[in-house]
Amino acid sequence: MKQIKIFFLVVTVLMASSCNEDDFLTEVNPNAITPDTFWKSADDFDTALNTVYAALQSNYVSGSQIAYELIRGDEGNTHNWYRPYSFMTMTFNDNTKQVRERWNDLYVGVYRANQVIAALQTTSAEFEAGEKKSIEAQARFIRAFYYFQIAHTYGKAVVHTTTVSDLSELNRPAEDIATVNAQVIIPDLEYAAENLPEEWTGEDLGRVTSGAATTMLGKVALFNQEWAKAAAYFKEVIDSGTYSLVADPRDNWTDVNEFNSESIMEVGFNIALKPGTNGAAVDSYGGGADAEANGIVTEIAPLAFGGFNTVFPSIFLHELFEYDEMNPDDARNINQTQSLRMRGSIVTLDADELYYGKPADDGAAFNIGMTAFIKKWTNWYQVSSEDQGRSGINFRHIRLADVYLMYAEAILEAQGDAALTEAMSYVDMIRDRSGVITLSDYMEDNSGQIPEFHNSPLVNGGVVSFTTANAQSLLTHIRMVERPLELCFETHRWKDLVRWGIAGQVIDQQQENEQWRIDNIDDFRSEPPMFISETRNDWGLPLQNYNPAAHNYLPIPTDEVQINNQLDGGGN
Amino acid sequence: MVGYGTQKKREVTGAMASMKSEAILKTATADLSESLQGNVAGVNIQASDGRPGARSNIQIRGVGSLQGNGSNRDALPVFGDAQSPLFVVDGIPFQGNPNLSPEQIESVEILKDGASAAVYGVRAANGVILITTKRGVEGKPKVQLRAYKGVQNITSGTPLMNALQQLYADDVVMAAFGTDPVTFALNADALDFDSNIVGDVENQNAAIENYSANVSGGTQGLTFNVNTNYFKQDGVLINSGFERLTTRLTGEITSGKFKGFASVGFTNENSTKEPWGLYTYAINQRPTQRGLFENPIIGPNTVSLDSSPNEILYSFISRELDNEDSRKINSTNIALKAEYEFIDGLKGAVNLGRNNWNFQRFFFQPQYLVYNRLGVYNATASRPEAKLNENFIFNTRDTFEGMLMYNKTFGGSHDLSLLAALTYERFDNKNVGAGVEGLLSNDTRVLGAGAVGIAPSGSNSANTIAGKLFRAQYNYNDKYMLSASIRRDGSSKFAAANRYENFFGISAGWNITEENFFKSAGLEFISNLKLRASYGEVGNMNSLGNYDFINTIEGGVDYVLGENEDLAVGAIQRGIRNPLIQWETKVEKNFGLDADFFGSRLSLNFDYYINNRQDMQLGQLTAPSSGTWPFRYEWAFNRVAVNVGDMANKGMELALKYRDKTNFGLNWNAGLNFTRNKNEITNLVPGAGRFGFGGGDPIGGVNGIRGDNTTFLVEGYEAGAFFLIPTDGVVSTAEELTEYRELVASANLGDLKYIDVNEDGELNDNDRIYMGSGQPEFELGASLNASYKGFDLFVQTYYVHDVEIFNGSKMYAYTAGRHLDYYYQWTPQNAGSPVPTYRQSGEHDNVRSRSDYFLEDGTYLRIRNITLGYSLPKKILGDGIEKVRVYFGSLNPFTFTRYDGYDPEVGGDGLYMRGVDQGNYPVARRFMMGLEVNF
Repeated sequence: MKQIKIFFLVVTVLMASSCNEDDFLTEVNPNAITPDTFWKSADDFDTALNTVYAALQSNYVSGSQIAYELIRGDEGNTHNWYRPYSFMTMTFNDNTKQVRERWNDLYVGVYRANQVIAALQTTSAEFEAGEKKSIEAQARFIRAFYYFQIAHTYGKAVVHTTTVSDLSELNRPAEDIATVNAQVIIPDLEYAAENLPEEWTGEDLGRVTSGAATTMLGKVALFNQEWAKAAAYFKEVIDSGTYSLVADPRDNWTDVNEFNSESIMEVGFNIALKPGTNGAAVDSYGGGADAEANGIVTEIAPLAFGGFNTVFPSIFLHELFEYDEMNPDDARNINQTQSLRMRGSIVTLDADELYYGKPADDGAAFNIGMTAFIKKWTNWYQVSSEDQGRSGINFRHIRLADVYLMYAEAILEAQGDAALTEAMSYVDMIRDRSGVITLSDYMEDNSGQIPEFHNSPLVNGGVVSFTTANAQSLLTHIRMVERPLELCFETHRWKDLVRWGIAGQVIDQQQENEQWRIDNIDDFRSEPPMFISETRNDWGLPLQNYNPAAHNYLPIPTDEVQINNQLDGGGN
Repeated sequence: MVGYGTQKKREVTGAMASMKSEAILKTATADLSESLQGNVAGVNIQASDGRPGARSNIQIRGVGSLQGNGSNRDALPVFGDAQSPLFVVDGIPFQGNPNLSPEQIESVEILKDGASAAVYGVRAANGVILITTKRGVEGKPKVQLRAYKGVQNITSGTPLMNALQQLYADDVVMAAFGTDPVTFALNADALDFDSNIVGDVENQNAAIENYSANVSGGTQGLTFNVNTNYFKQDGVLINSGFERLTTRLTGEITSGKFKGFASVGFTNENSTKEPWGLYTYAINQRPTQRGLFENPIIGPNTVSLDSSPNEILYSFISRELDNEDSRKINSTNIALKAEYEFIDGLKGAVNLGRNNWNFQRFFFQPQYLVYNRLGVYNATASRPEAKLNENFIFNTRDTFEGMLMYNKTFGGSHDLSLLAALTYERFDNKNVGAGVEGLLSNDTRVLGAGAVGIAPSGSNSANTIAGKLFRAQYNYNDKYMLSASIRRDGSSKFAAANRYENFFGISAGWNITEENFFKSAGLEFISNLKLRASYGEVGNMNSLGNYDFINTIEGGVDYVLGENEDLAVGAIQRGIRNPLIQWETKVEKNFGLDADFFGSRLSLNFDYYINNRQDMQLGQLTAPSSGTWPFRYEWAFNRVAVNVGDMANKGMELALKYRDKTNFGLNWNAGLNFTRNKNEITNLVPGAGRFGFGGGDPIGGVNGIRGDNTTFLVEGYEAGAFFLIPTDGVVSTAEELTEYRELVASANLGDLKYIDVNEDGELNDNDRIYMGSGQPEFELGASLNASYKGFDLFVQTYYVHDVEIFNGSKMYAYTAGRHLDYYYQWTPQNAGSPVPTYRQSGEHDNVRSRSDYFLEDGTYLRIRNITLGYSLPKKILGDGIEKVRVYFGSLNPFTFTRYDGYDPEVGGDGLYMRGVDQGNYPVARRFMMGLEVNF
């Protein structure tokens, strides 16, 4: 028994001597900091706010994957072996990559904004005068922007406006657009409009402004068909004197004149920073490097120049540009065969300018029914290939020309023919800036009539039809001619078609025109102006498959449906 | 050998199984777990894939811990697999599978029940595998040489269309789009080719070889054993292979009251890995273009893909063929043990262990310039600049254990053993990565030759465990045995408030044959009968990362701001962590019976167990609307570790063994083992959604396509059960179409018809229903050993009953539009076809993995091993040569199954991937010849 006593004595001594165990068992993560030590200074908030902005660079907000959105509607097409094809034919489903990832990307931005906003309410950090409000206003503007995108892509949104401490609060129901507007978008935008400066300068250039917030308030009203309210917001922006159209429209789509006078909301990209990483790598984690450049070039540029031409201009858009008649009195048009904005937007077989350093007909393959490629957002004017998948061109989400056109639309809807002159003056400012003949000039020369370029002249025997200028015909012009020409590939088109309720009509018309081309190709094959060498069958399936209830908005992704059991109010 | 000590078989009160060297070596393999497969009741082993050097997936008594990653295809190896048992080699716990050479192992003990494993506390919930390496014995040195060499061949594949079939199918597919195929527009010579690109990447009759030498011996008080083993296996896909050189030294010294033991192992593994997705990209390629090695080389690093309609798609595979992706692992493990008997019966011991595991990956991608069929340089298909990445991982695990043992027999029949131990472990991990682009040439494969650096990466992490253990064992006359233990563990993986937990174990045994009443009962044919019962608690935290209990603010989320577009550095929280996370506990009850009959000719072991996992650690998916699914890194942030839910495994194991000798001198024995495990999720966090715990994507990201989850944790069902949407053939008539369009607006003739199970007019995940799982109803293993004169024969079979398999390889060939079925797909002219029309998209409803279309019955019977050997008679061997044996063997020679895919043995990650056949590496059968010489 003596041994047992010794045994237990030694055991007791050993156990007692292990008092450093707490230190031994405390391991601190050496790779990151914790929320306990963060959110302590204004600098911390600045650092966090940068991530809210960084989410704007996401592929589905301003980057490579907006390509699929450009295919929806009538401005762009794709080939049936490319993934976005399902967006053209409306055969996407709730596990389609873009359906899932756009939702994910947008909510990543919301989550970051929510963290900043929530931490601001409780922090004891010291701020300079107005700084705290400014940070909150920036975060809230961007959050509203993300929610606007979610609501008008999916028709619904799960609303999170704060961070959660209890995991069970993570699951919330999906609300309709009106509720999302009321709960988050409008309050956020109003706060932002009130607390953001009109302009930023120096090292703050590129931050969001009150003008952007007011424009977004106008867009919310416009999408809600509150015409007078929308017009008032847009007028406020126009009259603020902060913005003016840039002389050369191409400055909106290149890196030559960024953050220019026309730009209202612009997402920054830079090619010099973080070299070597493809632009599609937005953020880094672990060993994965990230980029500050935009990878959109890979989707848009032609195969021959390092891209995939996943999206290319539709025949409809190409034809609009061919008839975007240059004003011979404008000095900028001398010795040119294509309008300024055409030269900045698309490249065609007969383009005059070098494209990626080569004549347009040497390099890009205008085959398989492709008659044009997209120039916007690509570096065709300064590199020989986009094979790096990197672009430094900033992405403009809102610019003054868009505001002009939305304003014109709003007053026409609100006031009818009474607003014709004013509305037309805004349309003409845009046309004049691009050196194309203004509508008022057309009216003068055609006894009060304006042209209907969207009525395919090719189909109509090479003839451009004209119609009397009135509120209705000007609205149609804005919808079917001016907005496509001015704002193509700037991610507005499908949302516009849906809010106007004319997506089905547009698809019908496109299919009809396409069928005519298929039937009559031998009469115009490879002839100017469009040099169509073969026809495509892009519109048959959309016509057959389109159902507004199922396709205007994307389905809520399968991951959300599987995990979020509150989605339909806790039904599953 | 039991945990922290040794016991005779008669004394054992827990449920354990053991395998000795001789039985282990019956299977010629580099992986110990392959030797265990089918041989041990209650232990389920499945190959994760057929890649050389790939470790099998080991599950002891049913599904273990639940935090699987789904399809994790990380380039770098992962440690501490949540499902893996704890490996203890010569007393030192390992991080993951130690990957020892089977030749170096003296015996393996598998602790299956909670009470036996409880002495290992916090990490033992998935069972414990104790490995004892070979020791020397006193006497004349013995030398053992073993060698085998063999070939492997691929026995199955996915049927694909040939050129003509493909052209026909393309025509049909395009007709449904209202267009014509562009095949000849892109390549006028398409008809000149009928390539088999899958054949191009396969390496039939790949070699496998193994050589080992063992020297052992010793003098009084000092023994040693040295074993060196070299193993080499070429992959059955090109550019893949595995090579291992491992040496282990063990020595024991006994001097009076002092006993010392040292074991040192050095292992050097070299493996090369085929380019990522090689096999699947090969399936993708059309046969109407040149074979992989037939494209004209038109300049330095320059190739003309003149027959390829899409040189970008083609170069996904051809560009990667000359990659060099080599991985080196250098590991050393050292175990030292010193024991001293202070006074009679009281011993003190110290165990020291250090395992180093260093990993190095060298990944070189050469410059590769592509000219297309028009003679135009294609930058996207090319790799304009060579690229080199090097990654390093350094792991160190230190173990210290101090023990005090007391052993005394009182009054001749009361035997008491006491054990107290303190254990400390520390695990350190360091990751470093660096890379360059624009190397001087394809021959200068060093970082210094790069023109531009790729941002370096690195991270460090560590965790520690402190444990205290006390155990008492009592034995009365070998008749009644009792053992009780308590272990208190603390881990750095939890917040301070949740750091400690206690684990108890108690077990008892009764040798009935020792009782006088039994001895007089006249049941002499029963030579031994023992009843066992045990109760034990063990913990689990394998699934947890080192810092999962605390939220982090991370960088790497930057923007540009200002007129100069300066970098605006950002940092934010990207995922959600749970500070309350705690251990998962497994409570296991075991009832066992061991019996020997007819003078031990027939032996029987039976166990029945119920184990309940409580507060399971689950990786709960957070809904994407929570903002935790950042692009490219969804997997890193979209799960939060939670303790919710309970799971039960109930099962029985039966092992029978019969040995006999015939009159004419045939020695034989036969073994049969039966395993049945019933798994059920008995409780799951409310509010996690019906399908909040999912995984099992069968194609997992090849070509950027993500399949749907197929397997889920749902209360009332086995873990990882299939929940899929039932389908009802193909939409064949206009009337059917009109009706089906109510459900799927953009449906067309030839589409797969899903059933709206809940009849809510919407087709979505709420229409999924239970469709079985990858967990079998039961498993059966049988083996036969026979020897006659110099000949010996070993046959082993394995049967798995009633299991479902999701045929992911078939699905992949469908998504790529290459499967032979498409030759017979639905068309208006072939309206009776059950094969839905291909829609030129891997994401279309027709090829989605949430349908039941690709689910198959995976029951199989496999002849796992046949080995026939011949030992030369003693008389023709000279003096000093003890044994010369030659043998011929085959591994996996025959499989009988209705399963259509590669191989019904689908292990995956053991939980969500169990039963999901990703088919990204074909499984091969092996034929081998070997030689053994002992002297």
